[in-house]
Amino acid sequence: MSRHANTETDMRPPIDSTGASTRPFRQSLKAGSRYAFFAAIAVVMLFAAILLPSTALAIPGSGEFVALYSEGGREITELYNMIAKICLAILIIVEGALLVAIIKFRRRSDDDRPLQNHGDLRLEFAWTMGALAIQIWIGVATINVMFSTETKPDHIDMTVVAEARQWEWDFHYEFDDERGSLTHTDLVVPAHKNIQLQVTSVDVLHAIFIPDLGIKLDAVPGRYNNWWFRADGPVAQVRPEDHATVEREQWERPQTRSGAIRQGQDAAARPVTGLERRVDYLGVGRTVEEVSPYEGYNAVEYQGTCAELCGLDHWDMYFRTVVMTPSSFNRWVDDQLARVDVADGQTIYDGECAACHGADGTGVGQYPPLVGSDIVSDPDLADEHIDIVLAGVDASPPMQAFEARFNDAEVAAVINYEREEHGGEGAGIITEDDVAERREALGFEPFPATTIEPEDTDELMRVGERLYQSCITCHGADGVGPDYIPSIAGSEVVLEEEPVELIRILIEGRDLDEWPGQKRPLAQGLSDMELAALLTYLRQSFDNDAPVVQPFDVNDIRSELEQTPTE
Amino acid sequence: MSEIKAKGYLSPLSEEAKTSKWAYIKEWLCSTDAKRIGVLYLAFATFMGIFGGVLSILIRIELAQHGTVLFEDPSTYNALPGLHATAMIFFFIIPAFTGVANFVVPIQIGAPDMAFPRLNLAAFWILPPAALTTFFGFFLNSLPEFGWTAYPPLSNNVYSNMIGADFWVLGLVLVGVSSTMAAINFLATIFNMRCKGMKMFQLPLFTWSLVVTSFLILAATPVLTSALLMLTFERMFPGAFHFFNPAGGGDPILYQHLFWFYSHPAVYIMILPGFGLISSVIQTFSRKHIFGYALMAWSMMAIAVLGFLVWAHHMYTTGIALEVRVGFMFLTMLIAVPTGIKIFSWLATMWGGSIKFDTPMLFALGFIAMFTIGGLSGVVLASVSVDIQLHDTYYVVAHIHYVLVAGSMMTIFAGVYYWYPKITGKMYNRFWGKVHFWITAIFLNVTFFLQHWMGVKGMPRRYYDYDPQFEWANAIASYGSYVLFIGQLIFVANLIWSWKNGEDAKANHWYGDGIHLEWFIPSPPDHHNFHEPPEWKPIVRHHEHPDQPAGLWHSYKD
Repeated sequence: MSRHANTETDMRPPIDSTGASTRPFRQSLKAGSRYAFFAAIAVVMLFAAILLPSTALAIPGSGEFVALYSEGGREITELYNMIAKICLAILIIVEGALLVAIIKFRRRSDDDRPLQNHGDLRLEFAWTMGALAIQIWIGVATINVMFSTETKPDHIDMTVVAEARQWEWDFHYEFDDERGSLTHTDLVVPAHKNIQLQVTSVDVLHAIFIPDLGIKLDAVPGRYNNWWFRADGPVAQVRPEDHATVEREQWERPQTRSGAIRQGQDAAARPVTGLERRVDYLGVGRTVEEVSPYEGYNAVEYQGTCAELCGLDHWDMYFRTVVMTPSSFNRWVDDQLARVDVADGQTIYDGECAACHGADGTGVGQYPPLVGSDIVSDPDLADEHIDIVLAGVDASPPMQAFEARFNDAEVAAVINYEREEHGGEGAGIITEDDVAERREALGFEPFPATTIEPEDTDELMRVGERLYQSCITCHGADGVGPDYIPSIAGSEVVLEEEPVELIRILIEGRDLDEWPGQKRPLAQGLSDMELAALLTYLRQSFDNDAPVVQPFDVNDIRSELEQTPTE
Repeated sequence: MSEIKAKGYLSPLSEEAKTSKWAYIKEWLCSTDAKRIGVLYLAFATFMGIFGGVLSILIRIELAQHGTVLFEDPSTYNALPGLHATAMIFFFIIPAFTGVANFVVPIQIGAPDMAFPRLNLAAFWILPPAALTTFFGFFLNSLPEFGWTAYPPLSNNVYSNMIGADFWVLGLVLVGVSSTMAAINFLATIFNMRCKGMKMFQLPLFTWSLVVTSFLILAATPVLTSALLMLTFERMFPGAFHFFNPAGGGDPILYQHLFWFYSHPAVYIMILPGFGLISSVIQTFSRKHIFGYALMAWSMMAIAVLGFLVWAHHMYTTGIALEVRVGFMFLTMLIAVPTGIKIFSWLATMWGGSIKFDTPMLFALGFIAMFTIGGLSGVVLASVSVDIQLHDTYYVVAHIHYVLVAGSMMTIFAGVYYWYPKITGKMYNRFWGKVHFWITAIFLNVTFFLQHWMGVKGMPRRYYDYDPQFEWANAIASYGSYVLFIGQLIFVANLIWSWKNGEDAKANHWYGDGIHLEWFIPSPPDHHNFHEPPEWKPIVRHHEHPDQPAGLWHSYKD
């Protein structure tokens, strides 16, 4: 065809034998190459800017997963490290080739006429197959890890149901008939046990996320999603008998690049006494206590949270994941089943009610205010008030039922708090009995508040006798040691009404002038329960006859001792 | 009233418009000329891009420090990430590519206009009302707070009974109508209106990418529309529909399947035109023909086909069976193969070339450098076990922003700078173009790179407040985003200023190296692009290189 009328001088094919004189932006050779040189410098700077942060991947520990405290989590971490290394290598190849091309093939003169090609079949085939091979390699490696971490083991030690709601978690435990069931707001599990997690939701989608253990699973209403894990972490206790099959290699920690993390792993090798690691952030809804509620157990705390957008306080759904030694876990369950409910209405209100009704009772968003509501202020409507808290409200937006979460004393406390704070005058005083009555009227199971039950003396003696086996070398099987070692039988220190000094010796050790030996702080690692059992055994054996010591006595004395250290 | 002076398609058509500014503007707004519609698309996309940018800055201000910074109430914050995503995906990236394509595609195939000019105009004019509908909640102080994914039950009438959410859903349905109309138009144009002699495998790769993208839109959009309408029925008629409500026999996971069946291909709708566009830029500024043209075209088709078979990789944690996840993982990993082919072919195109570092080329190089990071983090995420750890954390946020900011956005910039002389007939300010590039390239990394780290360490996304251990990294990301945003204002100012004050552009502006048809007509083009129908002739071009075998340059020649 012919050119149309609007012809311009530079309207020519890109490469033209006559182009030299009319080529636009023609510059002198010298100026052109200087421009190119500066451009090249600039491009090198660009790559420095891009590659510098990329090298962070290679800096020890910087790109490392935190999922190091369960077997499955470590396998996934190793897989991630492998894939990250492959990707880093590819990144360096691509960026390197790009950098070389930019520097080597920059336009030195406007007359540059590069050699043309259309492609190279062998080269194209090579990188297609290369990319394919790498992807298949990564895929197969992933499948191995998937089957290894997700296949449910033959033996599940315990099942916990994690139930999500806006905006908190409930963890349900079913024990044998004797102990019944338990619901708690933290996920507490024994270490070195196969735990099955059944995740569900009662309202919208949530996702349970425990980074340190490598757990993430959606909570879907109407479904139970299953995951299993075996937490070990720094809680390296005696290996349970039923898992003699755990191979040595599996116990070895993966090679990590970070000194800080390796330190954490060294900690895993020694037995944990007390709370080894605690969580220091739980969002705004749950302030972290000065002393963790798990301080008295041999345990580790990890942060858990919600990973699927679930509405207003999605960001504030933290919970503790507490991994305990199996013995501590048993003790914790017992403590929970017999917990004292010194119900504090304000704490419960702030933790459970304020998210929707507002800390000042004026309501949040679509949720109704309490201030000004008849139900909260009219003494005649007190029963309705109790009913609402127990049974919830089926409206839009709905309110959950609290009957299974709080006992009578707690419900009474929170209702009294609401009536006093938000109801103003006319507030009625609700008692535990009122709540129990309404509970019965609504057809719910009774849920009375109980006090702590003392440990059974026989149980204390049994545990104490077992623990005493570590002492017989010096103190003798009958409580009478050699001349130079103090006897236990008839010892004033042992028989003291409040065994403060005895506990001090046991947990801090003792060094006496008149005595060549040294009493080492052997009992330092014992739990309150174990120490109480040992003391009881000492005080009631070898013709001794002093009162039984209970775990809560030990707890009291321990905290006293911590406040008044020996000089 | 002074007379309006403009060249080419910019010049007024009617006598009235020559003297009256308002008549001229009216002529523009009602024009069926694909070039003018393209410019309207770009102007609209720029406006919505700034809007989406402002939303992202609000997010970053809130996250700059631990604790409450800007929003007393988390509900306002919770609305922002979803609205930012909606604005950027549906009203910035997709319309920006549609705009560039509207201008360039008809010219590249030698056609005077799109096949259905009025459909084209209608498709554009659906967009502004759609944007108004989508974001109408701003006027009612009732914003949807369920993210851009809108997963039920959170998005149903019980948990999100705000009216703004209904507007949001309807707005997205309208966008789907608009992009479907545009896709039909592109396919009809490219299949039927190529100039004499031009075969499909002689199309410029940008035009090829529009073919592939249009098929993606046609196949995927109805599924999103169905999902959104099902959601609307549930919201509008409480108790009557239970598609996603387990209490009524429905399943919330069904929505996710439908949503991602659209939204995964949508990622390719947002990046494939960029792939095609970058191919043009690189071959022009390297003075070389694209390396492995056929494989480049086929790999785009492969990406599109595979893109439909991987949606469940967004749902690894929903509890779907292990065997199913294995299948989706392998299909996902396969996408890395055609993507890798494209990256290596661009490198091979530059290899042995003569590279000139103008702003479009800088953006193309920046794109290759940083899109690779986004692609590789995609490989990491494809691995199921690793993805389960990283799902819904900031690692995913970093990945998607390396793909969409370093990918789609930088290619849009490359395209706009590349064709700016053609569109306006003027040259942009080179200095400020380079400043814009450097700010974008550097602060993009400052903003998003540390987010990989946050994700690996377990910071979930869509969080109003976070664990204080992430504060320093979030602060860096926030300051990076402020500079990144200001840098984009330089871009807008440069384009507007240069349209008036820039030097005149040549027809084949980039050193005479443009080899597609648009570079052989004046800048700006005339109203119907070509005065006579052009004819595409594969020719044997003499080349000055002494070692050059003959017969390698196919181009338009008179």
